[in-house]
Amino acid sequence: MKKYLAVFIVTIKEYFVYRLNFILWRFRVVLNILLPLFLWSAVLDRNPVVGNYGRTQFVSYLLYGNLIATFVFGTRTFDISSDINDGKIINTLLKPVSFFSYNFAKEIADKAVNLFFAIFEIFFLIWLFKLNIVSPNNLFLFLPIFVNSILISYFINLSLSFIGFWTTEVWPIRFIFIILLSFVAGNYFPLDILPPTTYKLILLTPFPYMFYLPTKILINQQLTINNLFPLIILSYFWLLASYFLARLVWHKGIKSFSFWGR
Amino acid sequence: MIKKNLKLFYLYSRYSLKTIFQARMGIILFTLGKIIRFLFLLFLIYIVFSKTRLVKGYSLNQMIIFYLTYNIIDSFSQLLFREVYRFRPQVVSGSFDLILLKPHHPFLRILVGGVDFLDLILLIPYIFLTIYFILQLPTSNLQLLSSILYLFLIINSLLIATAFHITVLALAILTTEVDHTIMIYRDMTGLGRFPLEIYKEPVRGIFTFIIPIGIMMTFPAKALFNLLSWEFILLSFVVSSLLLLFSFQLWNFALKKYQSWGG
Repeated sequence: MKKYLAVFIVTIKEYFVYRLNFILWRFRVVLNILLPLFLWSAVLDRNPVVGNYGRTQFVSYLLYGNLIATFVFGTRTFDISSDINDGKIINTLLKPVSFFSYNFAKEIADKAVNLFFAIFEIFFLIWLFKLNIVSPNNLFLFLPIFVNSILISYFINLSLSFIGFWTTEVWPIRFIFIILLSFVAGNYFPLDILPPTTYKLILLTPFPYMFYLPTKILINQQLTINNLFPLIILSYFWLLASYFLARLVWHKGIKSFSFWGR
Repeated sequence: MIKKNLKLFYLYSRYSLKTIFQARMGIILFTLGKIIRFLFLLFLIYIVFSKTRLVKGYSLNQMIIFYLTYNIIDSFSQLLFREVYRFRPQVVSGSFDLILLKPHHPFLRILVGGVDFLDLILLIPYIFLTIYFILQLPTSNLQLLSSILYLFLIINSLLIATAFHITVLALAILTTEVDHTIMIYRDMTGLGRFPLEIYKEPVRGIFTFIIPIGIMMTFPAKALFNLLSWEFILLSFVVSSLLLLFSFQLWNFALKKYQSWGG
């Protein structure tokens, strides 16, 4: 545990070496929330209820969602595929640590730093645009689902990085994943405002369990567990599926891996 | 001189095409990814308009034209200026020296030397779709003058895009600490996918007059809908000229500060 705590601290320190770079990265994140926030605000100016969401609930969905996305989607697994391609992964494999836990410690450090700044940014947006949001609800139900979403995202990102064992063209595949994630996970709007068939089809994919479900739980004031029960089950299903997928790809990949000169 | 530069541009573009075809899988996946992103945002517009008839006074058709115009300007600038995305590592490694030593202007290599033909694949359907949606506008809205202005303002937007890209090149020399300046530019221009009226102040003011994303991405479509006064049309040409001048000045300043790594 001590080893992973050290990895966690070193990763955080890395961020503060390039402070300006990090500040501008956060500026980009703020820019990206403005479009959905104001586009839907413009709709809500004319139409006070969209789906089952009033203005406060809709804005809360987008802002809490942004916080959750910061923690769930922030990842350092990008480094793994390039480490595989240029052979640097050998350095990690030789260390007396678990590869998965070592990378997870780096991942959590990345998420923690980003979340810390995201909280201030959200308060800044609320203050600047005088937004109303609901206070967080259902925290006991939210927490396990939130942990699930972090792990699903981590295992899927790992699996994508392990594609580097077979090809150097990992980035195009990740590009498609990021695009799917940013739309199908529910970043732009709550998925249940979609036509019912489209909504049900999207629920079969892993994406809504990384963003939509935890956010929905957090903002919902009159939650009925019966409605959410199938989604919670599916969330656990995708957690297990993504874990076994990551392990499978890792075992296959590491067997086919070879490098020279190190 | 122009003939020589065109020949070099052609040569670099050919090399770029050959490089792109080295990663065939990448071509398919990147193009697919861009198509998916385009369709998703188009779908978002339809979802928005399934909940309301007008957004800040704009109809569905007008909103789609805003979005398509953004895509044309964005794709065209990516098509031309893709090499800018690869410039910073050249500064950090010192290999920019090799470009400076060549007997031609460095912009031929670092600004327009990596034409991205993948964006051409998408640019053509964007143009056809835009023409289709413009023709769907009520005939009372469509005038020859406004259509000509639309074209001129798109060209003007490309000049602004050129100025932004030169500024990014200059910043890559001045601050090697920041490795994603070009992505900040992309995120800022992304706000111009839809008319800036949707944003509240101070965002709207900042991205219209201080960082002229509104002028760049939304003024052409507004001129097409006859919603832009002559003062603003003139302003947009003045802004692009000033920005271009500023970017050249900044580039000259940055070049004087450039320090090679001596390799």
